[in-house]
Amino acid sequence: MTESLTTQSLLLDRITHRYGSSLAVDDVTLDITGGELVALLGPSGCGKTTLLRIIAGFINQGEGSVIIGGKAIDHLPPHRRTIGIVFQNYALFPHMTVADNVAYGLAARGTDRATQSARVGEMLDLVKLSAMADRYPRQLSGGQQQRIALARALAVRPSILLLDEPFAALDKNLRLDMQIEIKRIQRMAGTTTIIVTHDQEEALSMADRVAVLSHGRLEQFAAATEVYDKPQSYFVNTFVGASNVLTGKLMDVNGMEGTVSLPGGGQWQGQLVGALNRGAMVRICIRPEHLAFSADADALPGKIEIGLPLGATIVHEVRLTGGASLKVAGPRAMGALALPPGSDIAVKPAISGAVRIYPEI
Amino acid sequence: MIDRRQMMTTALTLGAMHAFPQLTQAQARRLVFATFTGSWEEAHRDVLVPAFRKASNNADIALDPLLSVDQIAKVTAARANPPIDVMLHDPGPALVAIDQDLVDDYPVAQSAHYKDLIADAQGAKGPAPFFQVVGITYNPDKIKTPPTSWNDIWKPEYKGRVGITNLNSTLGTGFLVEIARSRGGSEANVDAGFKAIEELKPNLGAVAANPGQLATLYQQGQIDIGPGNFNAIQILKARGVAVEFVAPKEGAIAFKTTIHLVKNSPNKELAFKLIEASLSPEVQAKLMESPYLIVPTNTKVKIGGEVAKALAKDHDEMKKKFVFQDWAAINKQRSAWIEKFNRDIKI
Amino acid sequence: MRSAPVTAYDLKLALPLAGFFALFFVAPLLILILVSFYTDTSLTQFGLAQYARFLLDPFSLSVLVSTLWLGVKVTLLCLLLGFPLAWTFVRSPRLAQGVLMLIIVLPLLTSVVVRTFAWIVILGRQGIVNNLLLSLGLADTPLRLLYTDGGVVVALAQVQMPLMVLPLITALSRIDPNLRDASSALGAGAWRSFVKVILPLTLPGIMAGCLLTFAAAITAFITQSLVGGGQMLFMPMYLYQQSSTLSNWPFAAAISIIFLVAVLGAVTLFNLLGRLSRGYAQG
Repeated sequence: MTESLTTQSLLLDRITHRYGSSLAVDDVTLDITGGELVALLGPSGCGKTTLLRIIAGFINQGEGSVIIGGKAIDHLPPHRRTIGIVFQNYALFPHMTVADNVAYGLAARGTDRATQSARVGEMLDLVKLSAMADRYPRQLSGGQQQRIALARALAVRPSILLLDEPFAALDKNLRLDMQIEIKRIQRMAGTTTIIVTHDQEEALSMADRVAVLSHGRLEQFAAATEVYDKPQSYFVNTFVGASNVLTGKLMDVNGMEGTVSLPGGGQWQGQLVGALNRGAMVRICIRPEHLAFSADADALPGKIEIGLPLGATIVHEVRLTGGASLKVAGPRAMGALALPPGSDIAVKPAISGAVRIYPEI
Repeated sequence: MIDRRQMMTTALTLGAMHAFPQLTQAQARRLVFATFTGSWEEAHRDVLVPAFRKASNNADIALDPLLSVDQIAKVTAARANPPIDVMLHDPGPALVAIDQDLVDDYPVAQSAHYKDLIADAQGAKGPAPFFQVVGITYNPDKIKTPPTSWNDIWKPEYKGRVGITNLNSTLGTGFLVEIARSRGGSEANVDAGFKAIEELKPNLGAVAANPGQLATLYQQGQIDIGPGNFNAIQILKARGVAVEFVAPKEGAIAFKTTIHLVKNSPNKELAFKLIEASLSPEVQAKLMESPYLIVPTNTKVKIGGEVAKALAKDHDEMKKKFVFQDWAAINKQRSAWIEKFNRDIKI
Repeated sequence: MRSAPVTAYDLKLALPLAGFFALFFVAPLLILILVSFYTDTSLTQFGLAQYARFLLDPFSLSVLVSTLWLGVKVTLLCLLLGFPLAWTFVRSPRLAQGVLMLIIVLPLLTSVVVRTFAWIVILGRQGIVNNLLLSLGLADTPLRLLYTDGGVVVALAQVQMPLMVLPLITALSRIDPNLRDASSALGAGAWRSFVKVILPLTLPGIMAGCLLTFAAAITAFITQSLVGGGQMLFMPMYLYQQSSTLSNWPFAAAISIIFLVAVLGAVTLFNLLGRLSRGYAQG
């Protein structure tokens, strides 16, 4: 079923777009390999939806170029772009049956009826909803509607598949099933796919690569694990995954490593992100699971505020003597309890390189 | 055999009295005078009503401006206890009201003014306090040589510039009859009139739905010439519209506007006083002046002003220059004419 | 515990209205029907003479047909002009919508008589249209626009336009804008998207608008008679002539009943067509 013909690369080349005077997309370049599943991740208003609409052709970008399989398609109207879209609300045609919905794009392209119905059958098999062919969208559950929307988008063998917040309307249990399902279908169809989402877990779990956007700018475009482990900006660090944030003064610089003195006393080593000079005020980020209780002399003293055993992990909220508050997470051993509030402890990074140092804004 | 019509009217009246109990107390109500709408109402409010109040020691009176047909409908619906005491009618509806037995004889013997009315204005079922006069209306800005005859309307130079009304109105019907008469027809036979209107078609710029609309069409330049009512045209002229009225040499068509005592009126005496006031030379003389310009029927009124200039210097000349039509004969066939007009006259 | 059904309140509350309708609508209608069965103007004998007179008379039938046909023409023109207007409204920014809505509703806020007189001014011999044609040299003499079928249709279409546009706006604004995007992303051009998606989904609004416009156009006595003049006969004027000028109440009543039945027939037919075409839309 996989058709390499439909596997096309997508290049967004220096795209900039304004709504009036406000900059919605600011010089974004994304080079996406054929067959890849990429997530555009960011909070609302970050420009990800604008970018999706630019790719689909609903918006003509102010500057830059959309290039599919090496060919610029900027001059093409949406209906000539062969781009499949699954909308957040699925946008199934309410007055057509499931089969007619799936056949819609084929009919619009003048495909003959026999091919249409064969293709519809194939698509419904793919999304495992063959039995629903004669139903109307309103007779389907949310998950079923989404799969039909996917079948409809894929039926025309699009060069690019765009999914706009595909799981936002689904309840939590169904969400994971559908994420797996879509990933399966995408692998089978081999279609280059872009998911627009504000949900970092969704992005990290599904995407081969994640593009993090903030205020119209591309903050980082990398594999999901890399985005999590090596965030390239303070924004990415705090938006993707949980992070503890402290402020401090950069005492020493050694290549990409730096030493920061913390307000309550004590010093931590960390990775410098961006050019920083000794003596600068900086923000440091460290994820809760990279902190551990320690009796070492360089550990920062504090008291347990509260402890939350969360099944596989256990999270403690710690108030440092210096005043700052930190979360410390670690695996929970069988039968382990949280430390009681008020316990005196000290914390330090468990892994070297887990502390990341960003310039103060 | 019981008169079904009577029965239904009674049933309706009873029902209405149930719904609106105050109707049953109508015995004590004030005098209601159904006048025409528009300039007529104005004239009556300003001149006739004050004269009546003076004559009746300030009796209460209400004007109910209605078209003739609506007056008849209102009285027919409550014959036993009519909501109107005095009706005003054009010749056609007057005969309908008389035929349907809606009006009382006018107490001629007691009347101070009846004997002074010119003969054409007298009538046992209701005298005519006013005449309406129809002549030729034209726009002097567009038509430099004033027309003198009805026949002028047929001149080819007025292609698309003539306006008439359909036969729903007294004006339209009177015009048709007059044209028929001038071409050998009569009130009993208007075929010649229909033929003439057929010939007029190239000239017709408008067949208005009613005289009111016809008058406004001069203002908009849609039409420049056609039959018109003296009063209506004078009012238009007073507002600065370029229109003139001429009485054609064949004679202007005159309609009696008659005033009637409604049968079973609870206010007989006051009604009589109102009608007397309308026949009095004082009221008629005042109504003849600008801006009303209503043609008087009382020979004691000395004709002057615009009426004298455009129509007749005195009542003798009036008799000679006015053409009266036999509306009893007209009413017999009016329905058939309207139907014929409906079918045949399409511009 | 079960709460009382909502409808229990509704029926009681509707009683005054029902009484009002019975007294002022049903009762007069029954009287109208009764009167239409008299054979003579003095209402003494029952019979079907009035109906026979109308239904066996080609002229009367032609008046009925031309009235219904007038309604069809006005409705089509309203739809043709109203749809783009509604479309523009729905796709305009909020501020422009406010202005547009004012323009759309404005006709409802001015008297029909005033609007109709405006058309007399526009269509007259010295009206705006004729002056323009003459000054552009497109015509040598003023064209006759007033008192023509076309004039009546155009004037009625303007007068009744809000009745078409408002339901259309409601229907169009209920359509998810993503549907259009979905359609075009699937390869459908603007026309295909319109015919296959927008139009079927707007159908309820089109039906409502057409019914309102049709009903209003065929009964618009004032506009019909002022713009059509005294020689163009439509049912309302026919009715008026018989009842008012000629006091022939039985015939007038018969005309009303026949008109009523014809209109109900037309509306039913229209509804049926609508339901058929919606059949595929909603299954």
